[in-house]
Amino acid sequence: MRIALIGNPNCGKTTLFNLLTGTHQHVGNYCGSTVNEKEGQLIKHKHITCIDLPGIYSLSTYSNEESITTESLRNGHIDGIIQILDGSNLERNLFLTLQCVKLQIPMILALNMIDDLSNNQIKQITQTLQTTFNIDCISISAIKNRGIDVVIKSISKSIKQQHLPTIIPFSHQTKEKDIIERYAYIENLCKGLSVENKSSILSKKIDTIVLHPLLAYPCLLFVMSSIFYFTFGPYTSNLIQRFNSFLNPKQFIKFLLAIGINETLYALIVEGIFTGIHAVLSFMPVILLLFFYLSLLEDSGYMSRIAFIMDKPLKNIGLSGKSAVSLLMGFGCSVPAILSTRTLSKSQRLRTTLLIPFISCSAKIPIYTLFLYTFFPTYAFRLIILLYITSLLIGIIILILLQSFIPTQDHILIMEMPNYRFPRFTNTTLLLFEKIKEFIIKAFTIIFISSLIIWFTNNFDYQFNHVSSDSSILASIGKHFIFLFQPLGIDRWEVVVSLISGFSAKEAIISTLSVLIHSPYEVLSISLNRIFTPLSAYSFLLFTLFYTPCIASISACKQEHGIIFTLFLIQFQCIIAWIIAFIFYQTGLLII
Amino acid sequence: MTLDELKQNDEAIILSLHHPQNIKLHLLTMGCTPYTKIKLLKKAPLQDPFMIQIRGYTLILRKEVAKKIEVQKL
Repeated sequence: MRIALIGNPNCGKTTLFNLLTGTHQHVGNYCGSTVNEKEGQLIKHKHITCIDLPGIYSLSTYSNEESITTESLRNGHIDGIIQILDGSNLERNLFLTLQCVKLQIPMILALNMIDDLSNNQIKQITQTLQTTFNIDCISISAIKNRGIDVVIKSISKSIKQQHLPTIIPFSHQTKEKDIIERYAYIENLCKGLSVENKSSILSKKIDTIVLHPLLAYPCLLFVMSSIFYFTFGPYTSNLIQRFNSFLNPKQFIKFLLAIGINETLYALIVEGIFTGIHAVLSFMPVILLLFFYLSLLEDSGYMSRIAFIMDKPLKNIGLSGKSAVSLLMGFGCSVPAILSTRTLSKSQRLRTTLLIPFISCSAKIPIYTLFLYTFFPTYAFRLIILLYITSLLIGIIILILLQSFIPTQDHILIMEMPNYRFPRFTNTTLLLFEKIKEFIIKAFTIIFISSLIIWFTNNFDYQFNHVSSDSSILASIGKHFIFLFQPLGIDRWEVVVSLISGFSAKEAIISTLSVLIHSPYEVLSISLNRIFTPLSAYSFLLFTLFYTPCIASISACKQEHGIIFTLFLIQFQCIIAWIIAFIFYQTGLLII
Repeated sequence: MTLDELKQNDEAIILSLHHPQNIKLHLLTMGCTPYTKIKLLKKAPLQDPFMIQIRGYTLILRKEVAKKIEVQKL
């Protein structure tokens, strides 16, 4: 049995979905392309699959998000629909209900966010809706986990009996009249049911400070710098050290030595796989921290405030406030950031996607922290901030230069501003759990395989003879490309190979480097000192900052914008990266 | 008068929308139908976009969009 959750954005849909499915969720596939929908089995009823569709306001097709949802509802083999209604915002929520009942799929309504309603009002609303649409309407509290079981029972019953909702007829003269008529109908239905929302009163109070004409931007600056400080600040290296000693595979190595394992196999396991995976896993806490802060930004509702105050500045480069949300997500990972641009208009979307690669993603954090804490321990934090700002500025300059190539059509921003909410503990923990899972899976698939390949090609030549790494397959490949990187101050083939491996995932740069220079995490920084000078290290960082995004974001980009744009983006990024690193290194040489 | 001429905390009633069809439908879907009561809550620090209250929720609109919404001040 497949049940879809549908509702307006910010109606508590995700909270309900997390309650229903817990950790049994994964990103679903629809209509041949991967999109943001999630699906999962219900915790208590394993045979029921629940699908979390993106939050939408209507089933018509003004935005990509809406057309995807409509498509999934029609062709996604959905047996039943649960529509979540925001009790504090009934009118706009019921507009979607009027369209959903037309689908003629068994359906029930779940009335959420009822804290500000009296018992009498709740009763009145549920009864009115039940009689109007001839379907069950159940009051729930997703936050307090109330009424959830009743919802599941009720939808199962409706599906079994194939109980269909009543369609409310409208004249359908023009689209415009249709919408107006529907709202008129809803107003009539809701007479005397709307209430002043308490959380909206509190939100307005907070906003008088946070969105104050003079305080708004200092507030934003404070929030963003705190996030960066607590992610990359002085605690960072300490945190990595501790986590690293926790990860240490010494016992396992001892065990391998004790059973007298074959020498080549030992080298493969310890020098190849362990070194690579270990180097990447060590940085997990820092990456998780960043995701944690970003999720707080989003869940609390402050992200929409950023969109509100950044809209005017972003308008000048052809973006909108909504782009700010996508760009902020880009600090975590480019893939969801690229997918999140769907809610934007076409030209804004293209521009935002162009800018996202310039937002340094969390996968590059290991590289920055490792290099900067190795070469510039006292200035590390400031230099990391400098890297982030440089990349953003260069992205903006490039966007301005490309201005004339991307047609500007519509300059609209129509967006709901949600009330502030206290971030939900379950939502945040589930998100972090998911990130840990993702990270570990990545470490044991992409990083595992690339470490394996790197180790193998580094120890054997084309005739599969065991050779020293200087005459291995990898060395010969790396040496072919080295001429490209010499002007950037990079003259070791190991570094060139690590950059190539960065195509698969940015974390692979560190894992490859540690395998190639035979340095497990503890001695990595010492070995780096032999390979790089501080100047060439920074030039290397600049190159990694700008060069091509990883394979996952390339495929996300291809799916959203097609192959031509993506190929352009890849080449473009590489060229920019080379030019910037070249200018930096050559100027640096002149000065020093 | 049009929506962008309202001052903070002014209340008004929407009379008509003068936008291209797609924007108009988008606004209508969000509940900005004629004869709906609205309130200008706030302007962004740089005077654009606007934050308005409508049908019990908060909506953000750019000045260009607000300019084409004809309203009657209450």
